Amino acid sequence: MFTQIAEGFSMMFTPMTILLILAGVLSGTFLGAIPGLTATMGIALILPVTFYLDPIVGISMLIAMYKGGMFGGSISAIMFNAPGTPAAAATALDGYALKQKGYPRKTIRLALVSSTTGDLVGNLVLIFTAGLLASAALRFGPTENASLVIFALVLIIMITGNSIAKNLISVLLGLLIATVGADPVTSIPRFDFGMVELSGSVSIIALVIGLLAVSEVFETMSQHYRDKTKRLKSNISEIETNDKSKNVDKHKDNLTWKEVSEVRRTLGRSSIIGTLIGALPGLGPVTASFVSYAQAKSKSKKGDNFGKGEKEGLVAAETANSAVGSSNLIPLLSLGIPGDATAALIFGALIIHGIIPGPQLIETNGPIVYGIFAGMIMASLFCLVINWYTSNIFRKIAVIRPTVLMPVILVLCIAGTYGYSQASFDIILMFIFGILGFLLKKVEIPLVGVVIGFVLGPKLEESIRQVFVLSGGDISVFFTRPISLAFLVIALLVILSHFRKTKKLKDEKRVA
Amino acid sequence: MNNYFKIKETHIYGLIALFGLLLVLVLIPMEIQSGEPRLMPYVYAAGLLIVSMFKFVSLFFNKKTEFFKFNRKVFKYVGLNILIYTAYIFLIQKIGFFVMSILFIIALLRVLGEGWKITLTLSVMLPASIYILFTQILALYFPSGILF
Repeated sequence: MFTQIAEGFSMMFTPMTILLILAGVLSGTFLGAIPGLTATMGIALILPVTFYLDPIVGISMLIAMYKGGMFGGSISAIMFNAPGTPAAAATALDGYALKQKGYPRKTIRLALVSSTTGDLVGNLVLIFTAGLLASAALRFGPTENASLVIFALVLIIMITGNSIAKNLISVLLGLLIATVGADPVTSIPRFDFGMVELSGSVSIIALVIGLLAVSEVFETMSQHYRDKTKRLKSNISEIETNDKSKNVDKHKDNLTWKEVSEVRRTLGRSSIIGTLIGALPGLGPVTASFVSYAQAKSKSKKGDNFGKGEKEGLVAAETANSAVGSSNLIPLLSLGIPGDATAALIFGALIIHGIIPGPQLIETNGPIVYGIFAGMIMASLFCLVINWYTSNIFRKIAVIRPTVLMPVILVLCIAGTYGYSQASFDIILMFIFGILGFLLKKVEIPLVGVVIGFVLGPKLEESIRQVFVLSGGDISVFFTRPISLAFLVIALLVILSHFRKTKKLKDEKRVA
Repeated sequence: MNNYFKIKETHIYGLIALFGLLLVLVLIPMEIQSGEPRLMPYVYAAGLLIVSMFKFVSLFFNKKTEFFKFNRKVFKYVGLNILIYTAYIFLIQKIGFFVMSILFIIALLRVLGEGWKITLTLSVMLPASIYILFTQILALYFPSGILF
């Protein structure tokens, strides 16, 4: 094994390979940073080019683009609260708030360190334990998947926002939106209101961009006019009230080793969560980042600061979504099961090069596979170096007046939404979600729940219906299968611990 | 006239409960063929109805309802901006993405109080960059309408 690893790594260090991986990271970051344009789209576009390249170089370039794209998505989430990719939605929660406090460079760099850590842990797990994890993942049937999704939803409901009722409503709204379109088992259209455009499903990009980015622009508009009204009332000069667009001193906006060390536990935990969820086909980075975020909030002493620019929140989301970027190749390479769209594209590229993913892959093409792994590590490191220095540019972008940025973001939201699906109807959907997000924010219903409910909804429904078919409607299977039972017991413990904490707080208040 | 309008939290839960009821009694029976496809929508809608009804009743009887306060003037201005965005979105199909983007940027920047210099620069630069990236490099074409 170690000879194959050494051989694979030595094949990577050629000027051409390094140059193409660099190009992949740069173009992926650029595409990912534009809301709606994903690295998956970039991979699909350059896939034919890789046919003419050596398999290691070509596939490493695709993976470099994917990794760059994942981080690019986080850049726009942090800078404009407009997640470039759905996976960056959780990053926006604390990343944007921390940037708003005047720390754009620190935020980008902390996200970068988290992303690289998650990525490297995912890569190492992929290199050394891919086979082991893949066989564990094979134990996950519909019952376990349904229980895992229920556990994730319970975490989100108990931990995000301040009111459990509002969290529950928000998740239920997301789950309901996920039922629009074709039924996952019978393909019968639901809630399509006679519109062909709704007979498929609601576009995730339209939902994420509308709910998070467009609603945030409307909120910024609101803030702008509130400031303006106050200025008119009290005759305060513009400079005095527009402090929000100012950054802190350049030296304070630097990431220190001490700050990284403070979040080391979250880095470790979130890397593991991301790697494990990534190894399960179909769950993906969005689930991983939200589960990790909720778990970090429950563990943190500063849990109340989550959503208000808490570093641990940013680290948890970013580390987990990047760890998925590597570990979702585990089911692909070990079992031949692509975990998501990007993995499916890489699957296609491997097949075209005559490499058949599956249990025999490492035995038959060991050096090539390890060469690709080396390319992944190189891509992660390039991503770190490039974005570390470009974060200085984002410090400058952060001081642009919100009034100038608002129209730019609104136009980019439309371009990105349309570019993703080429459907004009999605632009209208995005706008509707923008209004919905704005109104929900006004009445303090958290938007995170809607996004995560929407993402997990299809998986939950599909798994539950499969369980019912397989068990003939008997729900006891959820409690007789050990993995499923474990998830449900943990979910119950989370609920009980929350109510215990709330009761304790109430008692303390009464005594005080 | 009062500059603010208030919405009670109980009203919000009441509205959500109504929406849940609408789903259970009207939308699901009308929009989804009977049988298994209705199962999960019914579960979610019932959940929405139960949670919101429970909160509505408990807040109503405890009389501890919260108020959400909104400034009328701010809402009017934001409403105007949203109206401009609505017109932009619906006219993209008729007029074309690039022309409408230029007009939208000009209109919104002027309403937000920006000067002509930045307005004109942005209104040309942004659609031009999008055109180069999307249409020329990525080969993604936007609705063209009657104009470009």
